[in-house]
Amino acid sequence: MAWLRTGIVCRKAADYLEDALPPRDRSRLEAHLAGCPHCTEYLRQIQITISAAGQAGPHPLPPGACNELAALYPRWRSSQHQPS
Amino acid sequence: VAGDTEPPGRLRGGDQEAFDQLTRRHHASTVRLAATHAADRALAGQAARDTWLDPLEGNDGQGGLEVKTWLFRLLIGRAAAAGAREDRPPAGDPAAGPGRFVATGGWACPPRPWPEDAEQRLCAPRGRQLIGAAPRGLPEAPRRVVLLRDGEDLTSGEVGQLLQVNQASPRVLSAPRAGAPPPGPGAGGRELVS
Repeated sequence: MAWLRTGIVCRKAADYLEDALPPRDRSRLEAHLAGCPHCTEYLRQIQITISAAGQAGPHPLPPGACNELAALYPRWRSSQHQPS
Repeated sequence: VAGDTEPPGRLRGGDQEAFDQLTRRHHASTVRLAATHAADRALAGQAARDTWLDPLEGNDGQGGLEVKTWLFRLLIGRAAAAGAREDRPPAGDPAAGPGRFVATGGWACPPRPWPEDAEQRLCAPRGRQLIGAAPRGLPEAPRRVVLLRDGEDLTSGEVGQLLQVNQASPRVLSAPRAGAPPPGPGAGGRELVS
């Protein structure tokens, strides 16, 4: 319970989800989670958010952006062939 | 551009199709990352476009990185060189702020449970909109962590290396701030439990 007093469960949640906790800390955290529905819910919400964030792709490119990028290349190519 | 790991020598050799493939695949992500330091979307687009010149010029070795990761490194390097504001996380523990826990331990304000179908709801169009917008409320460093780790699926090690974060998990930078509501996509989380 001392973990909760200092909020370490929340701070360690990031390392826990990244599987970056040392085995002993991981065991202690999991033992705490087994008896704490609030921390379990906290972690569940983080996991759901992470999963959803992974599915939210970037905005599609505005119309014309691809053509503009494509034009960048021949411009660069021609600049390479100009005498210095 | 098979595998996206081969050095883009084809670009320098004049392969327009290779260039078009790469830009179609990665430009939107590059713009999104550029938006973490650019003042507006137009400047972010410009920064991302400028970044494409680096692979052409061969200004920086790829060093075995995937093209996407390499582009991100070039972009971040350009931003740093241009003097983009550095937005370092506050010192101390961002998650364990006063008010989150009572003095004797335990939650002062426990997270309100989300419904069972929370993930499906967040992946629906409205949820995606909220999730996509949520990082904009974060400072630069944690915003980049969220975009790179969650949005682009880079490993923790890659994110740490790109952002020069010397921590077991760079995600700790994106942990909720003191006084913030327990986790979730801000308004999206509130919407889920309302």
